[in-house]
Amino acid sequence: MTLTIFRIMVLRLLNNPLELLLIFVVPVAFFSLFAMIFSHGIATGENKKVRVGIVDPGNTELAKELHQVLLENAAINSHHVSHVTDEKEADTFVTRSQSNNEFDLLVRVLPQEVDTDQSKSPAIALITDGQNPMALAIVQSILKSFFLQRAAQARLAELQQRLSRGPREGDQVKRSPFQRTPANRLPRQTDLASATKNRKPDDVFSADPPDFIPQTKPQVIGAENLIQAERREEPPPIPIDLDHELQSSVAEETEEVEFVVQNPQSDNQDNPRVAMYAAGIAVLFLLFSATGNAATLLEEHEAGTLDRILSSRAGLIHVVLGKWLAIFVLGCLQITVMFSWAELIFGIHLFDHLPGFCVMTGSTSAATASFAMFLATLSRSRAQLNALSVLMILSMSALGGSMIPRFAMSDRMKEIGKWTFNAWAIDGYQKVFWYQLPIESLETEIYVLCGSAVILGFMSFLLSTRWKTA
Amino acid sequence: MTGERQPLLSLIDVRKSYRGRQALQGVSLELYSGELLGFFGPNGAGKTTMIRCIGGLLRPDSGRIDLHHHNQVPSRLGLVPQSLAIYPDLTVEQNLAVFGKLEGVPRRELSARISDVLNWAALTERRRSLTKTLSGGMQRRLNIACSVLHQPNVLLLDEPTVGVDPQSRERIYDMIRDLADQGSAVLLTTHQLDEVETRCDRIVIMDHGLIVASGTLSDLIGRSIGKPHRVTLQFDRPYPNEAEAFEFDESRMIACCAFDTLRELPGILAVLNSLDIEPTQIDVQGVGLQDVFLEMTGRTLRE
Repeated sequence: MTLTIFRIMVLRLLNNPLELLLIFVVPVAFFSLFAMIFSHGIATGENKKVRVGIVDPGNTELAKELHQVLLENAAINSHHVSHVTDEKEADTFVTRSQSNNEFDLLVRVLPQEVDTDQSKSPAIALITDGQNPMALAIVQSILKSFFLQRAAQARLAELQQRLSRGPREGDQVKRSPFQRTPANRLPRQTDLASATKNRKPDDVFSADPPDFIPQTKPQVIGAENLIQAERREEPPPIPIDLDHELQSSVAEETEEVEFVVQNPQSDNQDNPRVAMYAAGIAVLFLLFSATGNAATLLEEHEAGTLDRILSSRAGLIHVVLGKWLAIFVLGCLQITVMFSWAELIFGIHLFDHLPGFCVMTGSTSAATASFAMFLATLSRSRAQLNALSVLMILSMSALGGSMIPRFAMSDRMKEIGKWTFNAWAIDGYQKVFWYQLPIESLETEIYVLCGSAVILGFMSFLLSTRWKTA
Repeated sequence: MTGERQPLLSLIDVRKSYRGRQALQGVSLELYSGELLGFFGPNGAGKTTMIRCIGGLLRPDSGRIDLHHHNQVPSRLGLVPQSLAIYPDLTVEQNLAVFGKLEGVPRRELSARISDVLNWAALTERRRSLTKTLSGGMQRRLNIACSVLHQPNVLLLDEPTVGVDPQSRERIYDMIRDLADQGSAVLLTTHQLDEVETRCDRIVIMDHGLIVASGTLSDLIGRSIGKPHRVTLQFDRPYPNEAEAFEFDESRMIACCAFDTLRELPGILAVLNSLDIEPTQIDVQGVGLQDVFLEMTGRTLRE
């Protein structure tokens, strides 16, 4: 008996290709999808360079040097923005490129007069939108290393000059415990030579930099001169505590380079990032609920209710439009509930962005309603719709950023994601809540979402005519 | 009954085919006010296709379907699908309201019409119940009630009594008869022979997409078997000779004799005395629609 029941189960499964598809094909498809996203987007660096834009209205040499240093790093894709010529243009460029997600990080060389303390210069602003915290850490580390090396080079050059010309009046000479004397001169030479080879990890000059930091020549100019001077048996220069001189001066120099980390989006908002997550989750569930509601069309067809409706005064256009309208309104309410909750609990400043929210909610709901109707009219049965919608919605959500933030994806995956409603909706809500841009900036998102709504809605109507003219 | 009245609905040489298979092969029919027409035929005969064509759900390949004016007012059509075409998650009243609006019942009249129809279908007490909580018979009644809110002149019912108990069936036919008595033309399809025999004013037998016979039961009997009564004899082995007034089937183990009036019965039974073999069973019965139907459509299974 048990085997008979088992046989019934197996036969049912074998006679149901859709169920087989859901059991065996869909998991493999999703595995492949996520494998693509993770193998080319998150887990490896091969395809995912940090995109850095250098904004320098003053066209300074420093910016060019920074660009060069960043270019030498394999993990960075640096772009020197040369067309920005004044501060106003720079501000506009920063806002625009952030909202378009052109760069992971912007490095802006601030003009001298911006500094309140004239003695501190240059000032570098690292402008992030918070989407890629790794980008900030990496670039900050590279730039600090760059300025350290620059300072060390400058100081050593100065020391070299001082060593070669002798002490000047006013030079403060310190006696080091390792000060040269005939007794310790030779061992000290050895020390200096070996110091250039066997650097200690905790030495700021000798610590092995990470791979992404460009390598420079060891800073041994002053030391070699000292050795050569001793070999030539010239009158020894005034002894100088080299270690102390280098360490203290370099520290002073690097302190003078002011790094300012700017996150314009979080300056006047408490928790704007939550809005993006709310949008991602809302669109995912909106797609599910929309297809669930659109499925009533198939249920009504199977039950004969559609026949009764179509034999009444209502035509097919009324049926399709009525269902679309219900799904649209329900979608608007669903998103509103989600964002109201986010406002209540996380304070996303919903009421400050109400026009943008309404526009995005309307266009997103319209697009998802049409998409759901399209799937329903395309399917021949409820079971077929279930299989199709699960496959489509999960794929769209994975690619479009509802499951994995899009900024973590490779550029290729981001491009593919543009074929999903999720991506456009999330981008739009992000512009509204995160970048706080005006409604005009949502033009592209609205065109795409509303255009899709019109096209898919029309196709739904065309497909639904099979019920009328069978 | 059809007399000189003008038909409310007429079909003229209606044809419809699906992928090369002829579902309707030139159906012509007229339906009159106050008439209850029973459509009868084997599975796949084309009954549902014809109803869907009349209801506007299918477009015929050729022919005409005309819904005529009744008292200078265009006739209204009501369709009761074979399945329960109602919303199970709505209450009885809500179902009636939405279908009333879809049929264009004016808002000011809707409430009164709903009350009338609830009363007519004996569902007033359950008006606020969810439809899915109703019994099968109640759901069937609601299914019909939803189609009469707009007071149609022509009502099409596709197997309205499938799966209901005898009490509910009686109630449903009472409802249908009410509508016919009020002047509506009712066309129903069914497989229930007794329903057609006893309830319908006129019977149409359909087979292979064609109307093979139409008329009252006595008309059909007259045109097929010829006489309304019959004596049937059964033998335990093939009867070797002929028997006066009786006709044998191919096996020669069953013999039949049709007659017009019961007064002829003693004369027919007298023949039994002269039979070479004694029959094992003798049946005297009236000819029914099943006999007519099998006579006209044969005994071959249809799918």
